Amino acid sequence: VTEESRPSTETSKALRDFARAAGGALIFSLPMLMTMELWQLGFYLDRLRLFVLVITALPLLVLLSRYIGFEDTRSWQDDVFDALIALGVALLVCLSLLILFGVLRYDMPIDEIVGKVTLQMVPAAIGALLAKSQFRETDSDEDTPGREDELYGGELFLMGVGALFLGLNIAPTEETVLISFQISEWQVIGLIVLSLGVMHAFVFAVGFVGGSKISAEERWWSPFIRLTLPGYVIAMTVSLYLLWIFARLDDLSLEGIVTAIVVLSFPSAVGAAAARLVL
Amino acid sequence: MVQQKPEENRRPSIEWVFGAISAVIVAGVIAFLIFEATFGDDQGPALAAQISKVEQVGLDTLVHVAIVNRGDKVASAVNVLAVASGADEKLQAKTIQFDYVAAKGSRRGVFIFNGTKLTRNEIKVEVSGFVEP
Repeated sequence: VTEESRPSTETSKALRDFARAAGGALIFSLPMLMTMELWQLGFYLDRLRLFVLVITALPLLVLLSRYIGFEDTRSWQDDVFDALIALGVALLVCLSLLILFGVLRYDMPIDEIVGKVTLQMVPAAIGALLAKSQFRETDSDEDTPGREDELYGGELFLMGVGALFLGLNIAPTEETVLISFQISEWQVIGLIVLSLGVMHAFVFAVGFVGGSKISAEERWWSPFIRLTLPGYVIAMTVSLYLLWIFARLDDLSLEGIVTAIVVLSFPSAVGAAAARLVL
Repeated sequence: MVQQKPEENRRPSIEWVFGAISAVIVAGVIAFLIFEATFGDDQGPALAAQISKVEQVGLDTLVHVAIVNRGDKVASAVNVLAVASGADEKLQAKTIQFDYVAAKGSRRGVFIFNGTKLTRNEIKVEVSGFVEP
């Protein structure tokens, strides 16, 4: 590489990373950008919940940059910087598409515009950071150092991101709560059993690389206790968080809250267990 | 001859601790659901409407209502009727429809009586009907 060509190479790499991030933001947030409930939540959602969403998203994005990210980072400063870039890319993608869809108009109050964009920006930023894995080229393009060295905590974190990946698409819709209204306690228990079964099948079928790799000599209950059960509790926690953020638990009884969490935990659990496939 | 230890014995203890805590949480949720299914009541929707606040905004009266469902089943398309008779003895009736009220849950809404100032005693609210989902 000559001295003259180096800056242009760096520029093209930066442009490629930006395009990847924008593509990831688009893939992750498109279902939400075209969901009516999210447009409405943008203007009536309690601003405290919106604030909590943004505040909790920041450390999540930094950790995501550490584990996946759209470029290989070497320091926490780089991760913070990448998280902020992801938010910027997400802002651009969401703003452009919401204007093109006619969801944002110039005569709207600024509070409504900010609410609608902020709500969509957070999942889009997660998508921007996941872009590396979604658009990963061959191993020769960019290897993924660290994957083999992942620890148990990293695996649980990725499960949480997988749960967010599917849960975020479904939590804002009315259907989650409506399903919880029309099923009995026994059906709810059936959903828990099914979620655990599906999760465990994924854990076995996909396997988890790194520190907790499942070996042939291991009994079935070992990964069930170490990975499937914690993964399901993570899926439940993510579901509780999302349902609260999107105000789907307001005015429900304790049983209603538990039922709604279990209903959303089904897709979240699938996302958590299939994190290796979808991320 | 040295016998090889099973794979699960070599796992870090933190993995088993997390697993045990998770097992307790999941078992707790299932136990709660079994208790509710076995000993919980199974009566249909039991709806009641009550006025929570009456306020004057400009020339209008805003009547805040809460609909409570003390039953064990959800009610859909819940219609609430508010009737007001002011000092001029002229009756005004308004309705609101709630898409659903969850079992043991509640919903809130607001009636607007335009161009009239009313007190709490001049307004009556009631649930006029619902649909079983």
